[in-house]
Amino acid sequence: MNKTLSLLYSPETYEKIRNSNILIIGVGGIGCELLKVLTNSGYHKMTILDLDTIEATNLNRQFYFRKEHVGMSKALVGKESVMKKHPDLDITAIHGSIFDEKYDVEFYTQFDFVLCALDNAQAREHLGRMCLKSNRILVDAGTGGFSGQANVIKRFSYQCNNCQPSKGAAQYAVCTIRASPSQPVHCVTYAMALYNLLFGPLDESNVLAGLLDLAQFHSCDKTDEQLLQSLAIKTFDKLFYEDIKQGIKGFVKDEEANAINQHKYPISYEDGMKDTHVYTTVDQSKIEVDDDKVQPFSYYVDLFVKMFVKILQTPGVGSFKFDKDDWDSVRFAAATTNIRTYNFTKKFKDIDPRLIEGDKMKYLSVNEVRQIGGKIIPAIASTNAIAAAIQVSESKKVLEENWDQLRMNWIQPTYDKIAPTYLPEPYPTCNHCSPRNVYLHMYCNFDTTIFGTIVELAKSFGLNDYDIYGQSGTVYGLHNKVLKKDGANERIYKKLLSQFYQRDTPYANMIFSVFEHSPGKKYYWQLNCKLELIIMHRAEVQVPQISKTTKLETALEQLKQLKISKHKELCEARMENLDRYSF
Amino acid sequence: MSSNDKYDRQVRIWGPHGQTKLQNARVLLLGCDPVGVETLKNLVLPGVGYVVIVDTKVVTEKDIENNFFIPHDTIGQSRAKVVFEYLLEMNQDVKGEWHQVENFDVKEQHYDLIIANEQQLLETKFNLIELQTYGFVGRMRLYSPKCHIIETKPMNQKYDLRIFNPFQELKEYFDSIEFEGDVDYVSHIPYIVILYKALQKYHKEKGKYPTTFSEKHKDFKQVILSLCEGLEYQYTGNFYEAIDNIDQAFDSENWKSSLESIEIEQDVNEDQYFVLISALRQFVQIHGAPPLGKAFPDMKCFTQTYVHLKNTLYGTKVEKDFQVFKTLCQNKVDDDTIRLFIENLQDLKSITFRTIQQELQQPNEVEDQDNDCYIWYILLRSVNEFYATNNRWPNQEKADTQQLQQIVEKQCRLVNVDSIPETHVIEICRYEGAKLHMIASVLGGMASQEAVKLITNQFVPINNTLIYDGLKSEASIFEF
Repeated sequence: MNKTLSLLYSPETYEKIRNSNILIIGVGGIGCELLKVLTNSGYHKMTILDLDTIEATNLNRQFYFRKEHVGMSKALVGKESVMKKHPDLDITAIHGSIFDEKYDVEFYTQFDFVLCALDNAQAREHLGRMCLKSNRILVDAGTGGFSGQANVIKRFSYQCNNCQPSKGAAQYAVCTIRASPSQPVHCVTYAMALYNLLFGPLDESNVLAGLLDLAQFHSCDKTDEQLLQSLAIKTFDKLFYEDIKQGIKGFVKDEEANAINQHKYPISYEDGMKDTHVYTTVDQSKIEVDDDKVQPFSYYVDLFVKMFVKILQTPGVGSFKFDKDDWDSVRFAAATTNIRTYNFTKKFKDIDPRLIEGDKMKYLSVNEVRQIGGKIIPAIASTNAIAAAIQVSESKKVLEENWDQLRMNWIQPTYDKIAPTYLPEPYPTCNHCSPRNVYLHMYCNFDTTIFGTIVELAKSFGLNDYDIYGQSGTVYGLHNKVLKKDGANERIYKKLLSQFYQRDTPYANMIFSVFEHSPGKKYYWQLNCKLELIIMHRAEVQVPQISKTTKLETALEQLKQLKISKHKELCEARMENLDRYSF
Repeated sequence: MSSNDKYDRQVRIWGPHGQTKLQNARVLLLGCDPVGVETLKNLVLPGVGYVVIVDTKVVTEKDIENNFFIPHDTIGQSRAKVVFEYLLEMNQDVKGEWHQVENFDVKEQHYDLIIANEQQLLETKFNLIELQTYGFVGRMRLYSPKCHIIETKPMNQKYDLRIFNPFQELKEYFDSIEFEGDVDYVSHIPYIVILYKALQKYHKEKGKYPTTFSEKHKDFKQVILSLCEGLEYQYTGNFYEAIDNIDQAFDSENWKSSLESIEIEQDVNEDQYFVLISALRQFVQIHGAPPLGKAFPDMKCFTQTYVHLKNTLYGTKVEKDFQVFKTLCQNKVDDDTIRLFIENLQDLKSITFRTIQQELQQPNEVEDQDNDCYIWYILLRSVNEFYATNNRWPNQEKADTQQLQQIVEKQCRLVNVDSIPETHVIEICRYEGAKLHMIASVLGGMASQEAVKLITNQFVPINNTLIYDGLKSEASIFEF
């Protein structure tokens, strides 16, 4: 019995803390602080999970680790160090990845709540989704320099970490990335998207979706090195020569291109290999580590092809996602970034000081690309300490079910240093958490199913005033006056899904969103509800199936009975059906 | 610096010169309460140079409960020793010493920072952070005998472009630019030229320069737009850039206030900052403007123009001013510091802290008296006074609450506050001086951020008290 705690906490709170079972994801900068504060605040039973091993750069803030621990598992060493101070604690340490299928909804359900101490955007997104699915409260935190934040994410009550896409990662306009980069980060973003496009799962939301015919990469013989190499060079020439050249064709004279301030320099693989310039004005001779240097241009050209071949041969290709700790992906991105930079930058003939100073385009070293791509931000012990301690303070409110007191806690370098604001409500249109969204997976044969099926599905939800959006914009609209007038709706209704988009891959997954408008409200966030459909082709399916098990008719019947037309009912229906309709 | 260096991440915030200052700093910790130790931990990890830990007590059960750096098998040992050994084990680069003594003489040695908890240090000639945690409440008080910050690192960089008062060569250049020409030419006139021309036009039309906000942002804006009349929208990017940077057209006078507010002490030669300030005064007297800084923003224009502006026009002037300024400094300041000073001229900041003695006698009054943090401040003063008379903290017994209530009333009169909610008085009696690790951790984190500011002389430290309310997880800053 801890006397200080029992004096300050009510007996009920103290009991709840003693008996709780919590999950801590990440034993890094914030994680170490979290473990320290939790174990000194009465928490007894916990599971800690981290995939990482200890690096030298961790030692300036992750105080559970010493020089001799470099290379060892953060989770295991962390547990050992905590037990030294508190030998009676019940700690389970897992050296593993939260992406592992083992850690499913059932795994999360055993915990009272989850604390997030991750610095990796993808892992964080995944954790957020798992907590939504398993209905666990997530106590989140993040820091950068002297600033940071700590807050609770509670399903359907408060915003999740994907509600505002700009919160963690800055979003850039699609055309900036695809056609007119003007900062190094635009090229890095392009490079990461290209990596995900080539080697990752099909993702229609990728900014580069449709850029390349992907089938050839998936179907080719991975053991034929020469074939892969020629494929790599072909891809190189298409991306960095043909596509760039085509962009220029539109202008009659070079001057006209200049007038809209676009300089484009197509480069083929062959020419690229001959260009051994080091495009930088920073003295490279003083830099010791190769990955910190800006290399000759041909180095990146060669690296692109080598990495392309290597990654295609790696088992599991097709499910990869850019990761700052996966050096193949980092090197591929570094190569792509610099070639892309070449495409949109003057060749350094007359050195423009703007290329060296400020945010303008410049060539980057592998480590710079890693830092920009992995959004590595300077982390220091003091800010981590504040964030983690506030997480524990918020955790107490969670256990007390003191929902009104939960806050968004901003940590600032100046002013009041800690500024709590009210936790924002979920975005009505958030793809992850909004209760106004219904998500359905539909399997059907694209050759026999017409678009009208989707319209019928929307009708069955009791929706009246709605528009259906596809990837190119509104495709069917009862609210949209133009579509309603000229008979476009009728034409599109009868269209087969396989002919819906005229594109190379008629059987690729399609995503449609159905938005219902509220009377008198104008903006998208005031929408009544959103139905999101991911439609997948299965040749063998006769009658369209919803989700994995349900037939369309049954689903429609059930949904009809629910008579979903109002927001609240929709929320309830969503909760009930959460397991069935996967996110 | 290679990326394998363990200080790599933090150097991105305070730079290699900040790291050097940290690594040369001597820090004294008075008292091993959790909050003080947490603060020192956050300085030991990033590699502070030398720590001196002083404490009077031996380890008890309570320390093990709330102080992470006191292991469970150390009861009866010196707190200073236990904490010292644990902290220094975390970072081999850090050196130091510990003392278990009463009445440690603070004046004997130099310290870059003193962290005091449990006891108040009324007078010191060193930087001081005083800390106290009490139940769910935390208090941090900063004091610095002299606080002149060159690198304030503001969120938005300010530029000194001399558009209002161009130097001779710049004025000649500005006057040589004509707005007649083909579209390509006009759409690449740098915005600083546009602002200059607009100023001239405004003056010609109205007989004066814009001064009020509405004159600057409405009337003057119209003048800028009139300069690109007839031009198709797609070619007016540079004119809109000028509108975005309208404030740069007017004389920036930030440096003036810092120049006037600083009183130069007698021993000018002792302190580089005073040498710089007095050099600045002389410079302004001769030239009518401060030395020009190097910072030059990006702008829409031809590359040749940009290079000419940045390197030839501004660059030459920057170098010329630097040489003149350097002579005025009479070799008392090194070149790097002079350059740093000139570049940060627009954002210099000086703080005169009230002493702790002054605060104890009469704290400044606060306007927002309903702020919970302010109420906690008055209550902390009250419990501290209670402790001074009784040598123990008040508890929930009636006698104690009544005695505390009387002290609270006295404290309220001192700061002109009518009364304090009874709920808060009862709540603070419940704490009985207990120290929560969670509160110590939050406050220790904030204290170490301020410590880094004071040691590196970068960023602007808080002036002068922060109260943290752990029940609401809210903080407020007061100048008491």
